[in-house]
Amino acid sequence: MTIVVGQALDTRDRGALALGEVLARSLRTDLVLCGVLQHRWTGPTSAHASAQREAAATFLAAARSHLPDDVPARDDVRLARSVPPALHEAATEHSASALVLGSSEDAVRGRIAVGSVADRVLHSSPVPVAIAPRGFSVSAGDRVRRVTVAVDSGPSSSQVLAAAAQIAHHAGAALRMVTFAIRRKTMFPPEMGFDIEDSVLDAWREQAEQGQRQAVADLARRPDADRLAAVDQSVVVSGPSWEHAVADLGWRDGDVLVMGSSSESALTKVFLGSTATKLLRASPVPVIVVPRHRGVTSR
Amino acid sequence: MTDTLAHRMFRKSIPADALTSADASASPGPLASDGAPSEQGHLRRSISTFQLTMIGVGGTIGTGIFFILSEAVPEAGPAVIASFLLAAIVAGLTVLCYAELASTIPSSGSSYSYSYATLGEAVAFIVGACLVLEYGVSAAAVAVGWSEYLNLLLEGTVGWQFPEALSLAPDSGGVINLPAMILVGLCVLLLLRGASESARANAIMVIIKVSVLVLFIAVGLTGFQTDHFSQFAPFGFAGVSVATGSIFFSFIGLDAIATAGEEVHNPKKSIPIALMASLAVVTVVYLLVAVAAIGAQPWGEFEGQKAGLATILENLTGSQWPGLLLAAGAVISIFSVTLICLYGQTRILFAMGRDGLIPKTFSRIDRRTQTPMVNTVIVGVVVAVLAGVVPLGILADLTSIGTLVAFLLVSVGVMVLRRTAPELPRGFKVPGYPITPILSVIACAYVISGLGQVTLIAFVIWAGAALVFYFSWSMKHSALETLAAAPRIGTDGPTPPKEA
Repeated sequence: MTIVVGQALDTRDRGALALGEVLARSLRTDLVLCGVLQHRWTGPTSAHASAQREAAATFLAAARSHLPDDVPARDDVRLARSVPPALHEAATEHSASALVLGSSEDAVRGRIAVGSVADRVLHSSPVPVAIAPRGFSVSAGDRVRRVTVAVDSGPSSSQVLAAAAQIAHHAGAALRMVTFAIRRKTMFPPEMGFDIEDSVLDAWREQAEQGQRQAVADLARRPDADRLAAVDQSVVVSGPSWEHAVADLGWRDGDVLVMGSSSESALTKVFLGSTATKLLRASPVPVIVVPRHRGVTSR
Repeated sequence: MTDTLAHRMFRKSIPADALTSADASASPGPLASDGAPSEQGHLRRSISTFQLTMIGVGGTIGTGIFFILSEAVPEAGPAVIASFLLAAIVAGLTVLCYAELASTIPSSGSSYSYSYATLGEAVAFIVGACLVLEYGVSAAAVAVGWSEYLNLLLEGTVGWQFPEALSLAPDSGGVINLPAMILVGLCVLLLLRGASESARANAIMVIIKVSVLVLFIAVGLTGFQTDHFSQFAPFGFAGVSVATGSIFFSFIGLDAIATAGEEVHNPKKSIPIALMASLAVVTVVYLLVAVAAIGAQPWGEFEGQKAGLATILENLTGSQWPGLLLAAGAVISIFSVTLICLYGQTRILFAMGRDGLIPKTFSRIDRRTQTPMVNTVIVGVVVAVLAGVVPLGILADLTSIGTLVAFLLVSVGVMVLRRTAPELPRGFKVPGYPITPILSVIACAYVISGLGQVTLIAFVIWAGAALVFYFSWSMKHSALETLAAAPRIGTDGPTPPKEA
C-alpha cells in the first residue's frame, strides 16, 4: 500500500507533498511522487522526451529531498496524453490507498480550490483522493490526529463513515462525525414570519441526527468492525452559510475532513449546485474524497 | 379511544397554559411543547413603525393592479373606483382582526399557525386549505399576469412574442399558457437553490413597482377625458360588489404587517399606524391608477385586454416606450411576487406536514438542497398546471375567496378567543371590539357573495374535499393525536454525545 502524490510539475506549491508526507506517516506506508508529463498533439521526439523526463526527475528529486527520513519515498515520472487517467493508472499500479493532489492557483491560501485536472481526477478515481489546501505545510513528525467525516443521511453515508473509520483506525486518530445544516435567509416580505426557516432547519436537524444514528448502527454491524475506529463525537452544525457552519465546527492541527464524492449527476449540479463543492471550498483542512460505490479495501 | 370527536377537532397546538406564561416565545409546533426555547436563540429584532409600513406596502402593492383592471372594470364600469374603496375598507377591517390573533401567538407565522394555536385543529386545517388558494392559486394568477407583460415586452423589444395558442389558457382562446408555466419552473429552481429575497431586494422591487405605477398615473392623466365617467355605474351597486371581489386580490399582503408586527417595539401603537398608513398609500395609488386608466380609455375597452396598463399607455401616447418601460418594471417585479407566493405556499405545507395534518413528505428536507424539495416540486407542478390552463379571472377570484374566507374565520376566531380565553396576553387588541370583528365578518361575507357562481361552487368543492381529507386522514395522523395517545416517554434510546 502506498500514498501516491500527483505532483504538478509547474508549480512551487508543496501542499500535495506535505499532505502526502502526513498521510504516509500516519498510515505507515510509502510515498510515491508521481509527475505526469503531458504530450499533446504530436508525440514527442525521443530527444525531447528524454530531456523532459530528466528535468521532471530532477524536479521530483529536489522535492523529495525536503522529505524527512521517516517517510520512504520514490519517484515515478510518466508520459501521457492526459494527466487524470495517468494518475489513476499510477494509483492502481502502486496499489495506492490514496491519491494526493494540491489545490489550484485560484485558491486562497489555506483553502481548497479544485482545478480542472483535480476535478477530473476526482470524478472517476478508483481510490480516495486527498486534496491539500493551498500552501499546506507540515512540521516534522506531524500526523493525522483526528478524522472528521461529513455525512448527509444519504444512501452512501454509511460507506463514507466506514472509509473514514478505517482511516482513523489505521492512523490511530479520533473520529468525529458531522452533518451540516445551512439556514436559508429569511424571505422578504416576511409573510410567514421571520422564523419559518428555523423550523426548516429544525426538521433537517432531526433528519440529520437520525441519519447519524443509523450510520453508527450500520458501522457496528459491519463484519470488519474490529478494524474500524468508533465514532467519538457526533455533531450537527448549523449556520447561515457553509463557511460559517464549517468554521463553527472548530478545527485543530492534525485534522482532516473526509467526505463522499459528489452524488449528483452533471445536470443536477448545473441547476442546483453541488454540496460537495461548497464543502470543499469552505474546508480549512485537507479533504479526503472517498469515491462512491467503492467498497473500502480491507488491509 | 379516549378523545371525543369534538376534542380532537378543537385541540390546539400550544397548551393554553404555555400561551399565558411569560415564556411563550418558544416556537410553536406540537412537539416543541416540552417548553425548551428554540435552539436558534436569536436576539429580538426591533423594527420601526416606518419599516413595518414599508413591509405592508411592499407586500401588497403591485400584486394585482397590473392586470386586475381588465377583469374588474367590465364588471362595474367607472364605478370600479367605489370597488377599490370598498375593498380597502374590507382589507383594513380584516387585517385589524388578524393582527390581534397574530399578537397572541409570538414567533409563529401564518393564519394557519395562529388558528391552530387558538381555535383548534379543524379550523386550522380549513384555514390551511384557504391558504392554498391565497398563495398557491395566487402564484398561478400573477404568473399569468406576468406572461401578458412579458409578451408585450418581447414584442416591443425583439419583435417576437409567444404565439397566441401558447400564451392563453383554453378558455381565453389559446391552448396553454407557456410563459406562465416557464416562470413557475424558474421560480421553483430558484427556491431549490436556496434563493430568497432580501429586505434590500424587496425594497428595490417596491421602488420599481411604485415608480412604474406613478409613471402610469402621470402619463395616463395627460389623456384624461371626463366623459369617460359620465356613465358612472352601468351595472349599479351589484356591479360594484362583484368587482370588489376581484379587486380584493390586489389588497392581499397587508397581513404581513400582522406577522411582522410582533417584532416592533410597541405593537399596540405601531400596528394600527402601519396598517392605516400602508392601506392609505396603497389605496391612493390604486385609485389614481384606476382613475387614470378609465380617464384614458373608455370602460368598454377594458374587456379582455392583455397587459392592460402598458397597452393603455401605448394607445394613449402613440409611442412604445412608456408602455415598454412599464412592462419591464412589471416583468421584474411580478417575477419576485411569484417567487414569494410559491415560497409562502411551500412553507405553509411544510408546517402542516410537520404537524402531521398532511403527509410527512411535505416536511421532508432534501439533504442536498436543504430545502423541502418534494414539497416545492409538487407545488411547482400544480401551480404551473393552474397557470397554464385556468383563465386569469377565475384564478384571481379563487384567490380572493380563499383569502376572504381565511380572514372571515380569523375574525370569528378573534371573538371566540375573547370569550374562551380572555386572559391571554394580547400584544395588540382590535379597536372597537366587538363592532370591528362583526363588521369584518359581514364585509367578508358580502364580498364573497359578490364573486361569481363558478368561484363559489369551486370553493365549496375545495373546502368540502379538505374537510373530507381532514376527517378521514389528518385527524388520525396529526402529531397531536400521537401526543395524546402515548404517555410521555422522553427521547427514544441513547443518542451519541453532542457538542453545540
